[in-house]
Amino acid sequence: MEDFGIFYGSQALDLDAGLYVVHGENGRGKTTIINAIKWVFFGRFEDRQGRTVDPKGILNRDAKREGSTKFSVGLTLTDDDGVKTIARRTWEASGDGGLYVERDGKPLNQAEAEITLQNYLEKNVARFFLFDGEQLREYEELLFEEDEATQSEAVRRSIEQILGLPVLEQAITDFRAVDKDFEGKITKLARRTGKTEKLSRMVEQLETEVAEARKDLKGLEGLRDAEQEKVDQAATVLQENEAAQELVNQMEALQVQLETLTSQREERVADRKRELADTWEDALAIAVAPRREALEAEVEAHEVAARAAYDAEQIERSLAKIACDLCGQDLGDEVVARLRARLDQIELGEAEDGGHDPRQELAALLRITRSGAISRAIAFDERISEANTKRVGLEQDMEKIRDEIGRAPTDDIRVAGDQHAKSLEQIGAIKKQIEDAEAAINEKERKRRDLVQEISSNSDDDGEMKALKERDKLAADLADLFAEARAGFRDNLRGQVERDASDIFLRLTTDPNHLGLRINTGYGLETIGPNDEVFPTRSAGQEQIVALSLIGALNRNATRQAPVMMDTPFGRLDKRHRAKVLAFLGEMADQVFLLVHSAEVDEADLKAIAPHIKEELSLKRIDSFRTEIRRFEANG
Amino acid sequence: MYRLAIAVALIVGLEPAPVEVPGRINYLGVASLDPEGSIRTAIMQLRDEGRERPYALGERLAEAGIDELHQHLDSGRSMREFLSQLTEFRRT
Repeated sequence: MEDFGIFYGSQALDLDAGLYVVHGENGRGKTTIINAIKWVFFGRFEDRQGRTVDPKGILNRDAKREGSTKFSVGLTLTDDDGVKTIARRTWEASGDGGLYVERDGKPLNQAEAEITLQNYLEKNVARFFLFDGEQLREYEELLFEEDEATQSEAVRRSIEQILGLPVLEQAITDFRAVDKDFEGKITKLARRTGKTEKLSRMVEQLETEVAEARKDLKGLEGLRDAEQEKVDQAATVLQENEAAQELVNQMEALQVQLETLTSQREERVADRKRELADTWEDALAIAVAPRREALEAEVEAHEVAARAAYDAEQIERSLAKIACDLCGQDLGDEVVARLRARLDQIELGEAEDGGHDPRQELAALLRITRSGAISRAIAFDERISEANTKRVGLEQDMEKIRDEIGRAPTDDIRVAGDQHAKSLEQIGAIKKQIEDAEAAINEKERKRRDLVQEISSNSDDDGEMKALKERDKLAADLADLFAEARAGFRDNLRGQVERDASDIFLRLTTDPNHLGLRINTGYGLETIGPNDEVFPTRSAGQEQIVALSLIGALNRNATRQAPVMMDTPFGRLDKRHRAKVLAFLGEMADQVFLLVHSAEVDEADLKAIAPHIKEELSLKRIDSFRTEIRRFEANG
Repeated sequence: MYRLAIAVALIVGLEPAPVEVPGRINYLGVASLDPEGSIRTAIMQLRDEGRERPYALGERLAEAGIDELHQHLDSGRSMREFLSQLTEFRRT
């Protein structure tokens, strides 16, 4: 590396097969080393938020102050057969930088250089060899998606690339191309005879249409991939800001509650107002209640007096006649005495006041009745008070969340959320268009093949035509054979990856109920327990174990072995898991680099695997803007 | 509120406000204010001085009732308390 990031001047890592441990505290350049490798291969790398880092910011600060305007990173790769590839990518402020690659001593042109590097490490595949323990989000789409329909197409393709499936795909493509080439020659030859000229022209027309359609299809696939990249970038931002996103969600939920509460409160206020308008009737009934009761007593008294007067009158008439006033029967002395006694007991009431008729007054007051409006108004008022109290509580909660959100990039989150949703929708629409385009192409191809078949049947089988037909059939048969084998091959590979990932997982996990991993068609992984039960959730540490298991399995099954570099891989792991991962690392690949800080691994951890460590290095702080790569010294 | 104020004055037994406001209640007002005559009935039965001109007295009772409500609210107490007190009020 020359003036790359925190590495001032020219600094190199000279590495062989084996396990290397690079010690570096925060900010000393561990991630920068991984980024340097990405820089060589891809000409760019992303920050933790998924944004491409501007090269201007990569140039070492001190070098820049001294007037330097360029930085570069060189990489020497040695194949199993000893072939060396040297690559150096330079950035210059003037724009003159570029990529230089030589393979086996021979410089390559720009296109060959990029292809060579891509063959070594394709961008989507990089995550499986350059593992960033802080960026588990990159692996979560692998670890959580339940089926192929939702799995990232790019992720699935990148895994299959490691496993070598593209070689088979390429073979099928090549055989089909050869087949098509022969069909073209058959068509041309048949045209010469004039018999099948019209058919030949139709074939050519179809070939032109198919070529156009394939161009359009490629364009659609490019659009799909571009949208997928936007989805991935947005997902990164959302993942990084999960906590803030959760706060935003909480805020929105509280906002909805507040709006509902406000609406309900307004309804209660309207109800209260309505009832208040009628409270006067209730109040009036209360006001007249004592008077009404008094009148009721008065009316009752009048009725009692009237009854008494009537009884007295009757008794007096009977006594006057000494005979019953009703039946006329003579009264005996005893009866007369009883009647006189009864007459003495009867109290006659006062005569009615001629100007005051209690019954009329009572009848008027009985029309004034309670409506219940006061009780209802009180009840609504209580509910309004409750709503006011709740509103204050909600507003306080929202204020707290607002403070916390204030520290988060909410605009970025919102934009990312919108972009994620929008791009997913676009991808859905584009996928449909791709399906339709592929179907249309397949239909045209089918028609073309039918026409070619017809040409072939109608043409004379002279020597040249016969040879062409035989070769064409062979190419077609080979393409079909490989295509048939592809599905089985893919399933076998996936099964092998599942077995290896499970095997590694069981060595790394500490939970006795973990019985293995299961892989789906999109290479997503589920943790399996007793009775084939799937564990529905995993902790961050467990995710890391599963991710490492997948990486280990892919390395075992890759067509090409590659080094594995791990930046801060133990951050989420407890001591036991850490020990297990450390013990396994030497087997992960022929060359493994661990970039760790002091809180992740201690002397005891490394002592346990000391026999497997090839070398320990250290990223030594010179100052805030400079780090030097040195041999590691304990307590240094 | 006007009718409520009259009812409050009748419940509490307030002295009517000293001054009538001329023209406050007219025949149109009475028709909408007291369509069933219940205010008139209540005033005539509860207040002897209201037998001759119940609505004129009603006006002065309303002023007294409003003052009473205003004093209650001004002291920091709520409308709800005021209404609750009315339901519990019983003149001895």
